[in-house]
Amino acid sequence: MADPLPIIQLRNLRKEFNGTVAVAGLDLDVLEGEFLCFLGPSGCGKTTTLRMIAGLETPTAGEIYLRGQRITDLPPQQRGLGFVFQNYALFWHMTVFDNLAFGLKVRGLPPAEIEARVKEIARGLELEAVLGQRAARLDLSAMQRVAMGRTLITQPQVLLLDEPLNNFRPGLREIMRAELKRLQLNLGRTMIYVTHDQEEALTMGDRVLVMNAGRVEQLGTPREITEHPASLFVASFIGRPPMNFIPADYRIEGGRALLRHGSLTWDVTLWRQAIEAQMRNGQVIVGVGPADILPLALASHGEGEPLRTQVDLVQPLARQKILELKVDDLLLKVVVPGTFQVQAGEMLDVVMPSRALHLFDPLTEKAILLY
Amino acid sequence: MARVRVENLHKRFGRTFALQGVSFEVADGEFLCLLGPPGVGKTTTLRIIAGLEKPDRGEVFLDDAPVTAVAPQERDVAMVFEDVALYPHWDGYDNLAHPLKLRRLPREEIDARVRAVAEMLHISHLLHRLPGTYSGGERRRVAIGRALVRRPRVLLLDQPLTDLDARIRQEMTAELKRLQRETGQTMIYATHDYEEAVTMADRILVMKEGAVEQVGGPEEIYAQPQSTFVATIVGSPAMNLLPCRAEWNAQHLHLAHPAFELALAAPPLAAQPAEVWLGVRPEHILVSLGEEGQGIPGTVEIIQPLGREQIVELRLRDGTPIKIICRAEMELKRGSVVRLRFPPEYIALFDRATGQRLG
Repeated sequence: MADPLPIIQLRNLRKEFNGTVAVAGLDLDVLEGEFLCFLGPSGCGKTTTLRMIAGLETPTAGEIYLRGQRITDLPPQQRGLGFVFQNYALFWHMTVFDNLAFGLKVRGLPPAEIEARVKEIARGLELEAVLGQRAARLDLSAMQRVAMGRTLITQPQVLLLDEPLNNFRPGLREIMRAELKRLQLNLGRTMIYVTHDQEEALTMGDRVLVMNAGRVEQLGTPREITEHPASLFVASFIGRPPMNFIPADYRIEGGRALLRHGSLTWDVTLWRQAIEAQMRNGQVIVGVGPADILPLALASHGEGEPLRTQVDLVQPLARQKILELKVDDLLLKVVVPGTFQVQAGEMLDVVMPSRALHLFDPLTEKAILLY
Repeated sequence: MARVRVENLHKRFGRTFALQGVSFEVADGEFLCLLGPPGVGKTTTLRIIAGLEKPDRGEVFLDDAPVTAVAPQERDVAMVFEDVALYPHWDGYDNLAHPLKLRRLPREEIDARVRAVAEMLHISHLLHRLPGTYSGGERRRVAIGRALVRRPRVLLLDQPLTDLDARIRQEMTAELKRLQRETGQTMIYATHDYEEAVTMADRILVMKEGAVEQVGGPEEIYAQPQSTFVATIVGSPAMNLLPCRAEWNAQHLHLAHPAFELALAAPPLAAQPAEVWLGVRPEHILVSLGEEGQGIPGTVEIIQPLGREQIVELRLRDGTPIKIICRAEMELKRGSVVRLRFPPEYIALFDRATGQRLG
C-alpha cells in the first residue's frame, strides 16, 4: 500500500498574541484518513493551532495547505473543514432532524436532498430512532453524535475536534472514546483531535503530536511515544503514573560503565558508546517507568540488583495498584498487579532491570538514544 | 476526631425521595468514600451529617451521642464543597487562619497550625497570595486546608476534585490519602469517580437511588461486586455482562448465549433463575489468535493502546460487543479473528430479574 498523502500541511506556522508566542513555527503533515491527536497542557498552543487550521485565528506567519492548495487566507466557511466545539452548541429547542439539516438548509439545498442526506447520516450515527426528539432531551452520547453529525453532513474534508469529551463524567468518557474511534474508523474521515488528556490521545490517535510551549516535542504513534519518549517533557506527560526521574552520575569503574544515585546503581556498559556520544557533562537523568520497577517476588531471576525500599503509600486502582516506595531521598511510583498484597510501612525489595531504562540529558532535556 | 454513625436516614425533596433508609458507620480515623452516579443522595447524606439539612427520619451520632438536633456550628464537623468559596480579599494565610480566629485561639497557636497545614498540603508559597492568583488545584488545596486547620471531629468532602485536570486529580488523591493517614482525620468523601474512591478509601460505600448498595474495601468492591450496579461502576472498561439462559441440575450449570454455550460446575444456590447475566472483567478474558482451537470466536473491531496493555473491543458471532484487556505485544488488528475463554474462577453470575449476584 502506498503511503497516504498529506491532506493538510503546515509550514512554519506561527502565532503571537500581543507579543506572546503561542505557536512557534510549526511544520506538520496530516495524513489522509488518519486520527491525529494534539496533546499538551493548557497553553501549549494546541488549540491555537487547530483554530488556525479552521481559519478562526489568523497566523502571524507561515502557511497552511489543504491538498496542496494554499488556504492560509481563506475564510473558515470556504475551507471545507468541520469544527466540533467543546460545548456542542446544538439548537436545543430544535429536533435532531432539524439540527442535522441546518447546515444544508443554510446552503439552500432542495428539501428532498436534505431529507435523504439527514437520513443517511442518522443511519451511520445510530440516530434514526431519535430524529424527532428535541436535542435538549438527548443523552450525552446522542448529543455528541448529533454535534458530529451536524458537522459531518456538510461533508468536510477534515473534522477538527476541540476537547469534545471534557464535560463527560468519568466512566462515560471511556465509553465515548471507543465510540469516537469507531466512528472515525467507519467514516474513514481525517480527524484532528485536541486534548490535554494523555490517555485519551494514546487510546484514540493513530498518531499523537505532543506540544509544549508552542513547539513540537514529539510526533509519533502511541506506541512510539510510550516506549521511546523523545524528551523529559514527553516522558513526564505520558503514563499513569508517569515515569520516575532519578538524576545519576556516570562513571567508569573496573571497565564497566555505571550510573549511580545514592545506593542505586545501574550497569550500562552495553550502551557506553551511545551515552558518551550524547551526554554533555557526566550526568544523566534516568527515567524508569512505573511498570519497570518490579517487586523481587514478581521478577525473573537475574533482572538486576535487589534494592530495599519502604512502602509509603498503596493506592488500589481496580486491576492494578500504584505504590509509592521510599529509597534514599527518592519517592518512586510503581505499578503492580491488583492481586499483589502489600501494606504501607512494609519493606519491599525491588529490581530495576537496566534494559527498561530511559536516559535523558539534563541540559538539553532530550532522550539519549541507546540503539 | 470522632466515630460517625448514621441510622436509617430518610429525606424527601418534594416528590423526590433523596434518601430511603441509609445506615452506616465510620470508624475513628477512617477514610470512607460514598460512591455513586450523580443524584443518588451522596451530597444529601453529607449535608445531613454536617447539619445543613434535617433528615425526615433517622439519626446522626458522633461518638454515640445523637446530634441530629444539634446546630451545624456546634457539631464541629467541617465540609469542603465542590464549588470552593475562599475569601477573595484575604491572602491564603488569612483564609486558613479565619476559622481559628473565630475561636479566639492564641496567635502563636494559630500561626503554628496554619503553617503546619500549609506545609502538609504544599501550599506554603500561597500563604501571601490572593485566591485570584491560584490555579484550580491550588484553590482546592487551600479550601481543604481551611477545613483541616480546625481539626474538626469529622471532615466531609463533597467532590472536591471534580473538574480538575486528570493529572492534577491523580496527584491530589495520593496527597489526600497520605494527609489523612498522617493526621488520622476521620473523613467522608463523596465522589462519582470510582478511581478517586478506590485509590483513597479505606472502605467504599456504593449508593444507588438513595440507598446503600454495597459497603467494602476497594479491592473487595472490585473483586466481589454484589450486584450488576456495583460491577459496572468500578473498573474501566466496565465488567462485560452477557445475557444467558441458565439450566441448572445437580452438578452443572449450563449457560446458553446466542454466540456460545458454557458448562460450569453448579454453585450450591437456593435461587436458580433461568435468566442470568454472565459477568467477566476485560482483563480476565483469555485470548488466543486464530480461528482454530477452543474458545468463543470473536472479531477485533477497535484497539485502544494503553501503555503495556491494549483495550480491544470485539464482536462475538451474533454481534454482541465485548471488551478485553491484553498485553500490548499481542499482534491484533481490525478484523483479526480470535478465540476467547472465560476462566470459571473469574465468572460472576447475576440474577437478571434483580441484578443481584448469585452465590
